[in-house]
This record gives sequence, structure tokens and C-alpha cells, in this order.
Amino acid sequence: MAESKIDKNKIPELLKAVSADYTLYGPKDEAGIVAMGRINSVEELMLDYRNSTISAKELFLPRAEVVYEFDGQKFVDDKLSDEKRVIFGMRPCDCRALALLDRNFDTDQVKDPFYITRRQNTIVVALACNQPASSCFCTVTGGDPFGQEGADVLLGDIGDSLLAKAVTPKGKDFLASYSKFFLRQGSGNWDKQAKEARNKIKTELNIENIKSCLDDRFENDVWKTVSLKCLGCGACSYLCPTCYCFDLVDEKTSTGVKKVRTWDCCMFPLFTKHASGHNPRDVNSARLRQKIMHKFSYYMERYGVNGCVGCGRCVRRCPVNLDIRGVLEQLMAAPNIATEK
Amino acid sequence: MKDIQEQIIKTAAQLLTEAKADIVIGFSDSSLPMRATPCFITNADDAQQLVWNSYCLNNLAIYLPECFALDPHVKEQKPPPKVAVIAKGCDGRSAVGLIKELQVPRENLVIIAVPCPGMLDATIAQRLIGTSEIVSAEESGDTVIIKDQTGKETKFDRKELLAEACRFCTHRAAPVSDMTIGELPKGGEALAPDERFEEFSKKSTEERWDQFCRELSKCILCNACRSACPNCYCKVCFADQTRPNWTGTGGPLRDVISFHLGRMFHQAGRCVDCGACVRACPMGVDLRTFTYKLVKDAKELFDYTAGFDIERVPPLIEFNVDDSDNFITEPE
Repeated sequence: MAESKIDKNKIPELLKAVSADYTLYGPKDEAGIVAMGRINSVEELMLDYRNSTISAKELFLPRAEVVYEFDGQKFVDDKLSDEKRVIFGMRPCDCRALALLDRNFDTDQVKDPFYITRRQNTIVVALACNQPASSCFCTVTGGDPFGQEGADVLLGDIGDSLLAKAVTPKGKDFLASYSKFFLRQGSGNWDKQAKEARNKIKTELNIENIKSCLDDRFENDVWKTVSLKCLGCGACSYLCPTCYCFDLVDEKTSTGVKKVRTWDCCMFPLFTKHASGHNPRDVNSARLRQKIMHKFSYYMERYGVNGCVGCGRCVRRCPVNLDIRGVLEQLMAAPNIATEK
Repeated sequence: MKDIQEQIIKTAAQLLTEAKADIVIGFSDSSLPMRATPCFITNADDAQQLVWNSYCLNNLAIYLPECFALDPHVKEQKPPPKVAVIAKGCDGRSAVGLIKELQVPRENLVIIAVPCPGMLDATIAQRLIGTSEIVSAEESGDTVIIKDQTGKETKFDRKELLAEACRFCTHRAAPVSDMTIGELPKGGEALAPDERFEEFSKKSTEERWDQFCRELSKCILCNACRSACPNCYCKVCFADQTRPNWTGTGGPLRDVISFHLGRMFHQAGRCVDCGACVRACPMGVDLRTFTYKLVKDAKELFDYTAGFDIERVPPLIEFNVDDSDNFITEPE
């Protein structure tokens, strides 16, 4: 598709115009944490950032979502949010995470109206990554610092200006409606930039055979070893752009009840606890195994891709430095002998 | 610190060889700059992995109760192991709390007290450096030279990079120990008055509540604070109970607040101010201002500081007629 570019000085003007038509979201500093937050004035938006501390999944899967509400007499009419949104400056790993979430929430069998509506009402303007962090490993899991999967528009920082490329028809329309801010450009110099960025990812890990490797080691004692220092908290999952597991809870209202969908996490003991009191994953090692297996085996089995985009948030924010890259290495290095029961 | 590290390695290897310990809990090198990671050594040959540097921040006492937990998968339990732990002041204080609350059998615990210089916090360093990622750090004396991704070197006094709890720590040595490595610091003084806390404690009840709610609104309920806290060993946390459900798990601030109020009140007279909760929090919630209020209250109202005396009965377990009660009868 046609490419264009925009002078960095023009960006505030563009953002002002966009926020007149859409609710604008983007990276902003929220009390020391970079979050994909609502941009109320364009100065808040920071494009000189590495990646947000917490991923943008909250904009598609809120931490608590009322699925339905009963006021004691009747169901409360619940209209899905029709907010038209633009997320500006999201990193390619997080955009790719949306493409992975699509595979789960928008399938032939399952159509999640909440997720799909938000996805349809949102234009994702990605900002390619020139400075991946040492904890980044998107290229290991099939992504790219200049990847465009999951995005509608891809922007690339080339110093004084940003190159822009429409990825989807929605993105093409977006660029067309704001074309007065952009200069037409034959073909931008993406390749060199992209290559440089790719070379900055230093994580050397080959996970080509990770699925069969994990499947073979399901009963291996190595899980006990790798999970020893894990605290069993949910920091990794809650920051992760692809962890989507949820719980459905009933909450009392003043006159009735509402069903709320909340974030949940397989590292929590309560996650699999049965009503009988039995817990099939009663130890931390079984829970960590579930987390890793879901991302690198079950996701692959169902959707043909890994469920990890290599954004590195779990690496950076794990309180005990349980580095998922190291865990995968240890698992792959473990002898393939099922532990005798 | 290299010297201390050598002695830690030697001691660990010796304890394991002589079967005086089945496991040594310490630190090893991590995958990130300015970090160390907890490690578990069971074989004398592996003791070489142990490190001792300015980044050994985690409170290792968190792992102690689990070492003595029963295995749900076997009928005949193994006898409890002998566990050795490399202990800074805070690890030691937490260990005292766990012994006191019968979570760890004293006779099976080998507390190896090591001199703690106050640990450095990579998050604080990164904040000072800015967006360019920290690549490495080198120490010489009290100076820390941090190199970032652009190749730039920035010099800091190590005091500037101290973890928050370490800035205000007054007890850098484990109060109870079985072995000592190096020369333990005696007592200690907080680097500076805790201005943020002073400001908080001067506020009216309403203002304090506002600050509490504002700060907690950042929380995503990932439970990292609870999981990193050695005092949070409950087999089933009140927040995980389902009959009844004490707190919601949802987004409303109400749920977040009920969880934190519950957790914090359980810390009254028990919190040793190690700062593990704050450092574990991925969202940068300032929990310490609130937990420190409990530490201060325990001290001022009951002359009690947690983590020092295995024998003394904790204030909230004991009743004395002359107990301070004006916070009930004359609330602010």
C-alpha cells in the first residue's frame, strides 16, 4: 500500500484532529508507570518510550466487565460501548498480541461480543520499535520490532519524521482522512531501520521445537526445579499482553445481581480449585507448568502459533527474576525421561 | 563484598558436605543488570553459583515456610529438612517472625548472618538514568558507575540508589543467627528522615484516606505484594476464600481497597519493613507509607518492633490492662 510520512512537528496537530473524531489512547506517564492511557491533551502522549509497563490488553479486556445485570425484576439493558477509539503509538509486539487474542475471542465457534466490538471500534496505529530492550525477544517467538500484524497503521521513526504505512483497509481509510498532515512518499527506507532494530535483539533462543519438547516433559521433575523460586504471584500474567484467562463472578447489587468477568491468572491457587475443594493444580510447579504449556504448547495446538509475543514485560517485572527465556532453556535442556511415579 | 561472597560459598559447601544443611538459600547471578536472583543450593559443588553483591534485594525468608510444608502428594512425609539461609537484617527479622509464629522450626534453621551494606534498586537507577536502558553497573567504594545503552557512563553515590526500605533501615544485621560471616554492622541509622512518611502522618484522617485510595487505584490485584511478603504465609489467604467471599476480585476500587486493608491489618505488629512488597509491585504502588504507619504504631503504642525477640509475645496476641487504647476511645 501507498506510503507516506509525517513531520514530527506536525504530530500534535494530527493528534488534535484525531482526538476531535475519536477517543485517543496512547503511551502516557501515569504516576511513574507508562500505561496505554486515555490522552486528554496531546502533550500527554509520549512517543519517546520503550514500551508501556502494563500492556494495552486492558483496553480490550477490561479488568472487570459486567456481562449482564439483573435488577431484581428484569435484565438491565446493556448496550455495548460504541466508543470509537484510536490507540496511537502501540508497539508491534502488543499489536501482535491483539492478533493472538483475536484467534481466541473471534473464532468460528466463539464470538465474544465485548472483545469484538472493542476491536472493531478501535484503530490501532503501531509505532515500530527502534530500541528494543535487552529483555525483549519478539524475534524469538515469531514477531518483529517492525512487525505490522494486529495493527491498522504502522509508523516508523526515522528521525525528523515518521513513515506511515496502511496495513488494513481500516488503516488506509484512517490515513486518507488525515492525509493533509502527511506527505506522499514513494517508498520509505524501512528495511535498513528494521534490520538494525532486529539486530539489537540479543536474546539467542531457538524455540522451534518447543511444543514437542514441553509435551515430552510434562511429568518431568524439571518443573519442580524451575518453579522453586517462583512466588506464585500474577505480575507476569497481569502485565502480559496475551494472557487472557478470566473468571466469572456474581456480585450483589442493591436490588439484584450482576455477572462480572474479571482477570484471572493460572498462577493463583484459586484458579482451578473445584467446588468440592479439590484442586488439580495444588502446587506451584503445576501452576507454572500450566502457564508455560498454555503459551508454548496448547496455544500452538489450537491456533498454530505460540501464545507469547516476546515483549519481555514478565522478564523485567518478575520480583525474583524468574526469566521466562531461562525457564524455556532449562526445560529444553532437561533430559527427556518421564519421571517415574 | 567479594570476600564475603567467597566465605558464603565456602560456608555453604561445608554445611552441605557435613550434612548440617540439606539446602542453602542464597543468591545467584541474574539475567538482568543490577539484579541478583534467589537460588537454592543442595549440592556442595553448586555452591560456586552463590553470589553476594549490592543487588541481593529479595527477602529470602519468603521461601522458608515452603521448605517445611507437607507434600500433599505423599502419605509418608519426609522428616523436615535442615535449611540454611543467607540472611541480611531483614531476612533475619522475617525469619524471627516465622519462628515465632511456628511456621519454621528453629532447630531446622541455620541462619547465616551476613553484613548488609544496604541494597541497590535497579528500578530507582533506571528512573534516574531515564529512557536509555541500563547495561551494566560497576562499584568502586561508595561510587556506582552505571553504563547505559548509549554507552554513556553516569556516576552515582550508592546512597542515591539504595532501595527505599534500605534508606530507612536501622538494623542491617540479622538479630538472631547461628553463623556469622564478616563483621556485622551494629545497629545503624536511617540515611535521612522519612519525609514522605512524616508528611503522610501529619495529614488528617480524611486526607490520609484520600492518599490511600489514590495510591491504591494503581493496583491491578496481581498479588505480587502478598506473594513476596514472608508474613503472608496463610494456607488460604482471606482474599482467596470463597465461603464467604470476603473481597471481590474485580476492578472497582472497593475490591482493591478491601484486599489491601485486610492484608495490611494482618501486618500490624508483624511487618519488619523489608520493602519486599513495594519492590515486587509491578505498578509502583507506594505500599510502604501505609505499612510503615503500622510499624510506627506498634512501636509507639506498644513499644514493640517486630522481628527481634523470639520470646516476646506480639502486642496483638497479648492483653494488658495498661495497653494503649486512646486510638479507640479518642480517635482523631
